[in-house]
Amino acid sequence: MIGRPAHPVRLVIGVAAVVVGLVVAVLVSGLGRSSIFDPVAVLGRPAPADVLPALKGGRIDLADLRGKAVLVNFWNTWCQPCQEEAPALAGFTARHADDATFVMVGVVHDDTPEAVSRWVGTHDVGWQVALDPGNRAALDFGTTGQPETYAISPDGVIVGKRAGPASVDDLERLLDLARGTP
Amino acid sequence: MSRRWLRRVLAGLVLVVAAVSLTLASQATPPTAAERAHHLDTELRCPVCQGLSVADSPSSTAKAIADDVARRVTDGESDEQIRQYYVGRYGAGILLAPSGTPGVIAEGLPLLLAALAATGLVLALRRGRRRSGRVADAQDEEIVARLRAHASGPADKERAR
Repeated sequence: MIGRPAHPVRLVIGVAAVVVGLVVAVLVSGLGRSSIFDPVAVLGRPAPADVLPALKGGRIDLADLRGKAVLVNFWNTWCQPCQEEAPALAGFTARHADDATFVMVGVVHDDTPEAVSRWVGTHDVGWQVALDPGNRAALDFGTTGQPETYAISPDGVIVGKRAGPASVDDLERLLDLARGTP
Repeated sequence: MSRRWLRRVLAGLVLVVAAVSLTLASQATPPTAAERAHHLDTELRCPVCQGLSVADSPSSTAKAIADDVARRVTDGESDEQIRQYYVGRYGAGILLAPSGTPGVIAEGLPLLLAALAATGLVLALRRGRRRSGRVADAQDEEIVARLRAHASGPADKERAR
């Protein structure tokens, strides 16, 4: 007996299923990919113990700052937002100039010591400035640009982060986080 | 053994030989430190770029990461340790390709879906070919002849008058 003739509709459905399957496959392959970085990945982690060359000579060992509330600010001279942030940093450090339990370190990356020296010589910089050759500290902190400011508690844990120019209020909040008194 | 079966066995053998060859080829020479570092650079997203890998980015940050990766490889860190160092600082978004369980899902599921779709297509084509290849037997011929005779009978009678 002759069976039913092959129905072209079934073939079309089969091809359509293949196409849908491939489209779903392509869409699913995009799963698990993220276009943004986790801004809090470093929070709660021990602060990197980098030893950095100080602009004025000698070295700044971040591990030696244990026991104090620390703010680490990444910046450089060619970064416009860093220039906009500079007055706030100056005002904030002046306000806490007599506070022995707090220290702020400016870490310069992607810049030359000469350019940094010139800039520091013409601005009111009341905090320690360290260089970051090879961007080692910037990578250890997980920076994605500049300026970025990190708050480190006296027991050496990163407890706060601010990406972008910080105001005096932002810096005060970061200091509170570092001290554990938000 | 029929020809069809012979063909299938041969196709299976070709696939097995290809798979074994690929496996042996991939294990033949372990990658050098530079190759390992470059491969990791292609897996890491440049944190200051728009969707570029560390290997593809000309930025100083990408160069710093590439240098750091090369140093870590030389120091004896495993690929996973190096990935985890960067995930610990930037989050999972630093990896261009997902890894771990989400990676298995993201990479395995598309392959599974594609395999299912291809199987469905092959089955549909074989089914269609099997149907179109059927031949009328004697019983079919007899039915058709009877129907034709029945349909053309009265008209022939009219014409004869």
